[in-house]
Amino acid sequence: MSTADLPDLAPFEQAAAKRTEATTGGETQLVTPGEPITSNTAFMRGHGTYVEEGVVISALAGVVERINKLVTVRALKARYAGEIGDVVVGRITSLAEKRWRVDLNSRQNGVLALSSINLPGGVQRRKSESDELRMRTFFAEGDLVVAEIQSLYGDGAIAIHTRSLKYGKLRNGTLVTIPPALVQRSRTHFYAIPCGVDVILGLNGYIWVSKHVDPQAIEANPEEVYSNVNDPITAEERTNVARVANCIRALSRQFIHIHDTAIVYAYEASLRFPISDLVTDSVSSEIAMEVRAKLQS
Amino acid sequence: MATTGLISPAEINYIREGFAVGIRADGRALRQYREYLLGLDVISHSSGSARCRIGFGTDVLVGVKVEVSNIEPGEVPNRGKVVCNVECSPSTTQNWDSRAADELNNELTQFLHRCLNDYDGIDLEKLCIIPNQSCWILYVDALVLDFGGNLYDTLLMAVRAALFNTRIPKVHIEETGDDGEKEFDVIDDPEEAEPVPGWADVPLAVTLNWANQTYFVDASEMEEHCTDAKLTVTVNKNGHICAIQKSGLGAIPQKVYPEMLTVRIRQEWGVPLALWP
Repeated sequence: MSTADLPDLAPFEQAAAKRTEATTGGETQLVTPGEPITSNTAFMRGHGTYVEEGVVISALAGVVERINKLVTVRALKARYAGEIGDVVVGRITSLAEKRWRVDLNSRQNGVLALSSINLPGGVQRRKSESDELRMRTFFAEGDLVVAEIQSLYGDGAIAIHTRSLKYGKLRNGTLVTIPPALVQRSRTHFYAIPCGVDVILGLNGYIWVSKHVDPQAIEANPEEVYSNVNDPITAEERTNVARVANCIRALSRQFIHIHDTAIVYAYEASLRFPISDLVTDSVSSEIAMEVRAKLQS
Repeated sequence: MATTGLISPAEINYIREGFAVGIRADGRALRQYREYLLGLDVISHSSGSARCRIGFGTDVLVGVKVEVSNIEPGEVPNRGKVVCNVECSPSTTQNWDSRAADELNNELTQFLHRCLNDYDGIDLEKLCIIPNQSCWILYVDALVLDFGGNLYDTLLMAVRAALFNTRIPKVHIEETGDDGEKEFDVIDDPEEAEPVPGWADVPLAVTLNWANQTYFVDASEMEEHCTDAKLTVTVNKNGHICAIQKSGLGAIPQKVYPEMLTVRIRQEWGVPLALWP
């Protein structure tokens, strides 16, 4: 057997090298643990770095950030640290007294208090003991919710609320998980992509991709807020949802910030490829190149 | 990425309805594997190693260590040994607490043990050095670093690649006495080492998942939550079925078995030629 027949000996290293190459084109400097950042003594070491023999070295895999003379490294795959007002997507993990615990891709579980939800039908009243007994009819374990951060506890734990018709239980789609660093805060996190797909960009890196539902239809039917049943979904809607979801995966694989314009560009660039190929290294880098070019123009 | 192991009813419905129309949540066809990365010789101190990562999810690292072992009285006098161990890293998913992880480790270890010992795979008789006295022992250790569905197939792919990568030193056997007593020296020269006899006959696995009256391959983690039953079929390079294992609580109708058992490794996986001659 000749070496030519052998599969690649180091595909992991190669893939990593390719990704670094693609991202160092701009101003961002990606580093790995142990990589020297600078030997210039004028710089001060910040979070995620240490000094050895006068050289500032990265302690994390992430992006180098310089604020005046302070050099810090922000980890690429750090867990999500919330801020009040952030839109997040979470998954209910358990029920406790008058509250739900929610997985928010954060260091610890978030809390959704019974008093922080809307009752079906938009009834305005204090939550009673009978509401507490039927908490599982609102949210059960495993359910996905979109919510807003209401407050932060002293230890960094997050409390969320769903007291708006925008927020609540998620249906008709699929969840995509990406590093939270790739989602930036913006005016809105609810997007309707022109191909008939809705995207909710949770700042915690959980992204909900679903078929488009008219917001007026939700307002007209407030009883359905806690429904577990999907609307009928056509094959076309299903393929579009899959394509948008894979576009987001492709962008995140290439470390491109996820926002509506990037998604639309990626969607347009993806149309000549089969959906399942979008997440492969070769196709995703090709799409990333097109998206980067369009974003800069 | 670590997940909670939970899924909502709406997601289950979405994924299962997708099977019915043949469009999966990630756009794949029902019988389409995800892209996989295979790396060889990733552990320098082992006799052979490989790492297989499928769809940026399941990640399995396998190391093979070859050592000389004694054949104890009562053991088969002219066969080498293969000892398997599979361990799931607790960081892979939150829902594998220590007991669930132990059970899974046992299940996978047993599965691998049966795949490597109970049929004409590795030529165990060629692993014998001196009958009744010494043989080679192959320690096959697998570590599951990350979980994203389809563990069995990924595990066997990594194990097969690691065995392909393994080299066993040559031995020099001498007769020392008149009574036929033998001694041997292990030749340290790495150039003199030989491949594992019969590595090419080690099978690969294709797991067929039964859900919503149809079946599909290479389930992602979320798809595994929506699966009624699983049928793991291992096939060797001659296209012969080596083992079938059914798991999961659901039932698979008898009439679809013949169709499910027509799996062809090359077609399903798209395996590189060097690994699947």
